[in-house]
Amino acid sequence: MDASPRDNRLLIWCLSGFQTAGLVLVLVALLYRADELGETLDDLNTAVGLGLYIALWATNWWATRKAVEGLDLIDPDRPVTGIALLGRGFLWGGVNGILFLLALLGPILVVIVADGNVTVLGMIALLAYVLVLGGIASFVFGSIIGLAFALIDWALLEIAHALWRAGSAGTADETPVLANASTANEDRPAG
Amino acid sequence: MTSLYVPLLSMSYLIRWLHVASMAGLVGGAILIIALSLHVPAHGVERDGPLLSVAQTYEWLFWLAIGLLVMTGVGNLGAFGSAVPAPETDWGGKLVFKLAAVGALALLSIVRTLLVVVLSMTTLRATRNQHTILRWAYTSTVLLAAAILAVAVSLAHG
Repeated sequence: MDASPRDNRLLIWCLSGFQTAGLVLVLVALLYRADELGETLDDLNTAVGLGLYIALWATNWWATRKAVEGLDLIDPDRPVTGIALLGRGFLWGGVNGILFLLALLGPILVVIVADGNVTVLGMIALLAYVLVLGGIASFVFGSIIGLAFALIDWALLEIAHALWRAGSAGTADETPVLANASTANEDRPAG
Repeated sequence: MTSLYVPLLSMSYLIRWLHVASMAGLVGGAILIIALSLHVPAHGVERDGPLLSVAQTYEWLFWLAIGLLVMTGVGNLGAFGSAVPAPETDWGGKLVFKLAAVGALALLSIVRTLLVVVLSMTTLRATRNQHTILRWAYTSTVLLAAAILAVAVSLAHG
């Protein structure tokens, strides 16, 4: 039973939306509990904040797409390839971290260059320094978060599959009441 | 007339509008699916392809709404700035509850979305039990969203 590309796209959209929202919710909750939320948000412009969220969502979507490529997470009769999911979550979480760093730095670097106070050589040196150190830190941070969310995703996928299988258990005599539109005209009951 | 346009164009008004509109869509869409599912003919008189299409569309929009809700929710908090009430206050307790409830809604919704995705697989059909499970998933979504809404109103208006 192969899932269609549209099914996979919905799954990817759902997982990436969940991961992005979940990460931001956790960060906000932690900052709030530490009584630092107000100060942090004070320093952040609304438009910039929205832009950062959208950037994170976009990089997360792309990384999630790469992470689940080739994995069948949908078929409830096949066990979820959890270890593969964890490994990919770790790897692509790290990549996501680097991508987000680039998305974050891009506008800042453009402003620095536009200011005209840095030479080209200085710019290259700054970029290399930030990318190497920042890249390593972003990869590590992103990998840990990616692994954590992969674990959560795995658990939730197993729950969904278990619910589906529980619903189909012992129902051989039951008449199915719902179907995908492509099977809508198959074996209609007589009369 | 000018006084009407000014609030409509302000960022904070737009943020609040998006926040409320996203929640309305999220709740209304789930209620629509529950209502439609109650009219699914029993015993195979008609296969219900339209309900599945509506559910798939809802799931796409749901995750867009969640993103908008979180994004604009942080924006709304930003409007308080450093004047946001401390976590030890009643208001703070309600906010923490609301954040946790939104997290729980997102967790529940992964399961719900996946059930819809599994149902979409071309060779699978839902049995009556699976249909009931899916309906309960949407009902839980509405109930949890209603709880979040109640807390949100309390946060906004005391």
